[in-house]
Amino acid sequence: MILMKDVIKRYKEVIALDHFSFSAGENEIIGLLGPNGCGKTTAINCMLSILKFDKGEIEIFGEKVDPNNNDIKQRIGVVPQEIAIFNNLNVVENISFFCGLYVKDSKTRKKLVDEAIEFVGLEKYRKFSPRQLSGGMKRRLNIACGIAHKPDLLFLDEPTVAVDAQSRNFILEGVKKMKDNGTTVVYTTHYLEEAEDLCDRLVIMDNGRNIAQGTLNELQRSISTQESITVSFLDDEDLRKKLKSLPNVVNVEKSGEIYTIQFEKHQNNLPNLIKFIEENQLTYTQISSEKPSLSNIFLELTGKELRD
Amino acid sequence: MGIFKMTYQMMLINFKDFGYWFWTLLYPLLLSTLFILTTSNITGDGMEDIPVGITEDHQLTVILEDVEFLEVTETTESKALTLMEDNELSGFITENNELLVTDSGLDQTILESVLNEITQMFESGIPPENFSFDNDFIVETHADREPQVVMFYSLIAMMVFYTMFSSIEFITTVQPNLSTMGARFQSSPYSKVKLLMASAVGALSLGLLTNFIIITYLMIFYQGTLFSTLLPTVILLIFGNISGIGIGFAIGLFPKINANFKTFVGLIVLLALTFSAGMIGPGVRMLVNEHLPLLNSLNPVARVTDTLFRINLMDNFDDYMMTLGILIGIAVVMFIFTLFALRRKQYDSL
Amino acid sequence: MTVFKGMLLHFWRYKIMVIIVTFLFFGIAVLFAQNQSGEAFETSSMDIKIVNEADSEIADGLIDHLSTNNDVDVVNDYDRDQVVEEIYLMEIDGAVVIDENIESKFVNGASAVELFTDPRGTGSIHLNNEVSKYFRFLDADYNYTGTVDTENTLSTLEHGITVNIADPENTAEASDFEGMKFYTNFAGYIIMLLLLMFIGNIMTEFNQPELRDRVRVSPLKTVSYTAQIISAQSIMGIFSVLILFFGGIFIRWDSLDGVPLDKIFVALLLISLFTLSLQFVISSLTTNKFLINGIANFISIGMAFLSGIFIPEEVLGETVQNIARFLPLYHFTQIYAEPGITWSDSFTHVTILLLFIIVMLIIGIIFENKRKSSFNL
Repeated sequence: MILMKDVIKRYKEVIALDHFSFSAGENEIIGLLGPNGCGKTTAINCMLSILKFDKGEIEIFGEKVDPNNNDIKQRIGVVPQEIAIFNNLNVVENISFFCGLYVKDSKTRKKLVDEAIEFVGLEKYRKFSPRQLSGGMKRRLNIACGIAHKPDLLFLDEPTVAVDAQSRNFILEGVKKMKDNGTTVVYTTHYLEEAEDLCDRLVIMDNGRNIAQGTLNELQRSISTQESITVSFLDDEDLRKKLKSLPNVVNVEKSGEIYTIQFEKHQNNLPNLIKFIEENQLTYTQISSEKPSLSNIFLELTGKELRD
Repeated sequence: MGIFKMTYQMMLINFKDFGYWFWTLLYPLLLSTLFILTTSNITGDGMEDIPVGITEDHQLTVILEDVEFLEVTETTESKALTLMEDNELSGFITENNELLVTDSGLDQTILESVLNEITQMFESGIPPENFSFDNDFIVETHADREPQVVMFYSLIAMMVFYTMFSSIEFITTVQPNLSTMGARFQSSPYSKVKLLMASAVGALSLGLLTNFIIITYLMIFYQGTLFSTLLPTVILLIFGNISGIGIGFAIGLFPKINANFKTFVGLIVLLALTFSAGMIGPGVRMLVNEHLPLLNSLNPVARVTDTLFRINLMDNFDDYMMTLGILIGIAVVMFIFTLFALRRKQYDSL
Repeated sequence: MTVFKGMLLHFWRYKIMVIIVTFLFFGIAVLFAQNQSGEAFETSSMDIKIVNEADSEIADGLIDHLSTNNDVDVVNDYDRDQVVEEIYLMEIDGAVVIDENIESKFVNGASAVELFTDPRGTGSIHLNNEVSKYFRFLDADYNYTGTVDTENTLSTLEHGITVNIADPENTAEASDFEGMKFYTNFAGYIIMLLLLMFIGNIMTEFNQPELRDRVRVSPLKTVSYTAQIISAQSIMGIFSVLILFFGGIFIRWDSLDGVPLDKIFVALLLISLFTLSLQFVISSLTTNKFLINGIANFISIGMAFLSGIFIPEEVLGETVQNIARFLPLYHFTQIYAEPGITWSDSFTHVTILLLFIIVMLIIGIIFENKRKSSFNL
C-alpha cells in the first residue's frame, strides 16, 4: 500500500530523513515510533506529497505520489498532530466541511458526518464551538475531521498527545475499529505502551533513519536481551556479582531491594534463578519474568530512552 | 461538496468572526457617523464681509464703504491692533494710507488689492469719469465646493478593499507552511480552482452586503447627495471588491508571515492610502496631490474615490471604464498568480 | 526585571511594523505641518486655471496680470466638468476662461471672460476683483485714449500701497506656532494609535490566561509584576514621545520661534500616559487581537476628528465642539493652544488630562479585579 524507498530530505544542513525506507501493507496498523524531532511528521508529509524530498521514491496504492494525483488523495485521510479545525465553525460544521473536501453528495456526507461524530463520541457536543471543548474533545474532533470520508489509508500523527485517559481510550479503540473496517493506519507516537497495544507492525525511527522494523515479536527477537526477570530480595547483601555468574545473564541492575536481570536467551532462565535462590538460601518476596518491552528495544537500538 | 455549498461554508467562517464584522461593518459605520457629525457644518470657507478698520475722518472711508464686500469700522490704531489680535479685524488703514495687518492671508490680500486699485486710479492719470464700475466683462459660473464628500467616497473606497482580509485569511489557511489546516486542504482531492472560486465568491457576497448596508446608511443619514447613479456605483463597487479579493490572495501567499501580521500590514497600508485619498479631510488629499502627485495616481483607493465622486456628483463617466479596467486587471493578475502558485505546490519546509 | 525585559523584547519584535507605521504617518504629519509665512507681509497666492481660447494681447495682458501674484496654469482648451470638479475638490481656487473673441467683446462692452468659482469662498471675491480690475483699467484707458494698450494698463497696475505687519516678530512666531501646532495635533493622534495598537497586541500575549496563571504561581510579587509591566509600557510611551517630539523639532528646526516646546512636550507625555491608561482598560476587557486593533483605530481616529485635529475646530458643528470638551485629545491640543501660552493657562487642561488618566486607571483596576475573581470561579 505504501512503499517508501531511500528517501532523503534535507532542511539546509539538517538531514530530516536519511535514506528512510518504509512500507505498509493492506489492513494493518503500522506504528512509526521515535523520539520528538526524529522525522516522523516529515516522513508523513513526504508521503502526503506536501513536502518535497531530495531523493528516493514514494508509492502509494501502487502509484507514484504527486500533488496533483487526486485519485490517491481521495483515498487518504490525515489527522495532523496540531489541532487543525476552524474555530468559527461548530463540531458538525467542521467535520462536514472537511468531509466535503472529499465527498460531493450531501446526503452521503451527512451520513458520514454522523458516523464520524458517533465514532469519536461527540454526539452530545454536535453544536458546540471548538472553544467550548476540552483539549481531549478537540483532539477527537480533529480526528473526526480526518476520518469522516472513510479513507483506505489514514495517517494519524500523534493523536494522543496531551489527551485525558478517557479520550485516549476512545481514540485507541477507534483506531482498532478502523482497522477492522479495512483501513490501513499509519500511527506515529512516542508512547510505547500505545504502540505495543495497538500496532501490528512497528518502525523505529531515530535521526531520520529507519533503525528497525517488524512485529513486536520480531523486534524482541532482534535484540540481545530476550528476557528480563525482576526479583525482590529481603536480604541486605549485594547480590549483583553472584547473579551475573548465572548463565545467559547480560546485565544486572539493582534499585533498592529490586534486581532486574537481563538474559540474552530465553532458556530456563527462571528455573535457573530459583535454583540459585535455593542454593544461597535467599528470601524473596516477588519474582516476575517479562519479554523485553519496546522501551528496552528502543534503549538498546538507539542508546537512549524514548521519553527524555 | 459542491461549489455552492463550499461558498456557503466560506461565508459561514467569516460570518461567525466578530473581528470580520467589526472591520467591515462596524468600523465604517462608526466612521460614517463621525463624518456626518463633523462635516454637517462645512460649506466652503463661509463667506462673510471682510472687516477693516480705518482712522477716523479718513478720506477713503466713503469710497471703501461703497465696496460691497467690506465692512468698515472707524477706530484708532491701538484699538485696531487689539481687534486684529482677536481676529475681529482683518486690517487697518493708517493716516498715511498704509495697510497695517497682523497676519498674511486672503482677506488681507483682498484689502491690499482694493487699496492698490485706489492708488492706481490716481497714478494712472486717467480722469475718474472714464472708470466704469458697471461694465460687466465677466460671466460667473458657480461651482460650489463640497470637499467633504471626498471623505465619504474615500471611506467607501477603503471598504471595497476590505474583502482582502477574507482572502488573506483563506490563503493563509490553505497553505501547509502557514497553517495547521493547510495539510488537510493540501492532501484532499478538492479542486484548487473551485476552492479559490468559492472563497472569492463568499468574500464578494459578504463584502457587497456590508457595502450595501453602509451606502443605505449614508443615503438615509447624510444630508447631501452622495449617490445619484446607483447602478454604475454598484458595478464599480463589485469590481473594487473583486480587486480587493485578488490583492488579499497575493498578500496571503507571502511565506513565513502569519495571517495576523499580514492583516495588520494590510490595514495600515490601506489606512494610509485612504488618508491620502482624502479620508481625514480634503486637506491631506490636496497636499498629496500637490507634493506627491504620483502617489495618488497609483493609489487604487484614490482611483475609486475619484471615480465614485465623478459618476455620482459630476455625471462624468470619462474615467469610469478605465477604473473598472484597472480594478479588474489587478484582480485577474492576482488570481492567475495565486492559482499558479497554489496549483502544484510542494513545500521545501513546513 | 524579567517581565520588563520580556515586554521590551516583544516590542522589539514589532520593530519592522513600528518603522513602517512611523514612516507612513511621519510623512503625513510633515505634509500637515506645511504652512509658512514670514516676518514680511506676503500677498496670498491663489491657484488659478486660465483657459486661453483667444490669440490676443488683451488675453495675454490678463494672464500677465493674474500671474503677478498667483500660481497660474494656462491651458488652451478645457473640459468644463473637469474645471468644476477641480474647484469642487479644492484643487484650484478658480478658473478663468477667455473667450476667443475677447477683443471684439471687450470693445463692445460684452462679457469677455467666464469665471468659475465657488461664490461662498473669499477666493471668489478676490479672483472676481482682480479680473474686474484689469478690465476696468483697460476700459478706462480705452475710453480716455481710444486705444487698447495692455502695456500701459499693466504698468499702472504695478503701483501699490505699503502693507505693514504690526509687530512682525509676533506674526512670524504665530506662523511658526501654527505649523508646529498642526504637527503636534497629528503627533497626538499617532501616539494614541501606535501605543494602543502595539501595546494592545503585546498585552494580549501577556494577558493570556495560561500565561497569567504561570505568573500567579511564580514567586514574583504582583506589585513587582505590575510595576515591571507599567515601567516597560512607560518606556515605550516615552520612546514614542521622544521620537515624535524631536522629529518635530528636526523637521521645523528653523522655525521654532514662539513655539511653546515645554508645553508641547508635557502635552505629548500626558497623552501617551493617557493612552497607556486607556490601554489598561481595554486590555482588561478583551484579549481579542482583532478587537483591540479595531478599538485602537476607532478611538484614535474618532477622537482626532472630534477634537479638530483633522478638520479645523471652527468648521465643526456646535454639537461636535461640545462633545470635544469631553475628550482628552481636545485638552491635549489646548495645553499648547496659543503661541505665548502660560503654564497657568495650560493648567486646567493639564489637570483635566491627569484626571482622565486617574479615572482610566481606576476603571481599569475595577475591571481587572473583576476578571481576576472570575478566574477563580
